[in-house]
Amino acid sequence: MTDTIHSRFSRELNGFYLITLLYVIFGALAMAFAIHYIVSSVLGLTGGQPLSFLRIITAAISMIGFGLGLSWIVLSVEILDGIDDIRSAVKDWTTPVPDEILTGGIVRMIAHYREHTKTIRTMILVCTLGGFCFLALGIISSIEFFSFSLSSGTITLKSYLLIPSALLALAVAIVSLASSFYFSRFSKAWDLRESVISRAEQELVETLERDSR
Amino acid sequence: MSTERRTQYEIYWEILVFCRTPRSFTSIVHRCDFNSKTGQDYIEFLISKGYLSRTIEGEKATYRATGRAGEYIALFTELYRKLFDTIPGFKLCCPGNCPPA
Repeated sequence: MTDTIHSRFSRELNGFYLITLLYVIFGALAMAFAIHYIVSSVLGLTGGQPLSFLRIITAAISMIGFGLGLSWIVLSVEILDGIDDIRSAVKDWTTPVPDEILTGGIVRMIAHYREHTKTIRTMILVCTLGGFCFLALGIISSIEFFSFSLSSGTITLKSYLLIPSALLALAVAIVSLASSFYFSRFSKAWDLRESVISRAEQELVETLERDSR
Repeated sequence: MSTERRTQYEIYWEILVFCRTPRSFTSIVHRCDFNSKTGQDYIEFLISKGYLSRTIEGEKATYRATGRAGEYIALFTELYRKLFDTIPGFKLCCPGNCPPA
């Protein structure tokens, strides 16, 4: 039984650690892409290219993406720090894990979740918004490098060089939306545990009251 | 444990488990990571419940969990283990294939 709970606990910790780590990596990527898009928009203007509505929109979305990427990293590192400590402690456990050690780990994780509930909710929101920003950037870039002729019905590719950046923007968008999905799942599972704890506390109060008589 | 947010019941449990062997006030406060005033309040509460006993040897006081604390520790452990026993946990799986949380 202990091993089952231990392995479940370790699995959850590892899964959450992996997603948070992905958040940090893709947060950095998001910032890099946002800078790339901002710079290319500005360079286009100084290069004598006309100020198009699409270019202004791209620059605006990129700036939002940069801000989201930055907060994305700051929030992720905060969560990652605590998870890493708990994970390192769990790794050092030798099976069979004594009840108190395992319960101590669970208490630590719950306390960490409780402390960062707001941050996790913000991360879900930031990541979803970031995902949509990069999805928009990817789509806009795709529109920019394709031109469609209505009369002849042909599609022309303007530059092969733009394809990788558009695909990467789409990849960042997909990963950030997937991360939000997993973060929501993690949050749901721990919210449920929190509500069970609140109900269970009544039993602990009764034990304490009974013992004081 | 760090300064993460714990409930009073979690702190009681932690003190009691730590005090299975006699501990000094300083070591309890250090282990549970709270200030002396808060630590004193928790310890006094547990002594008043008969869960913790104080032994004074010379100038040094040590605290030890009593037999009565066993029921609280056992109940707490059972309740927290149940969280992983009965509640569907978080799994990394493909969207659409995940069991309901």
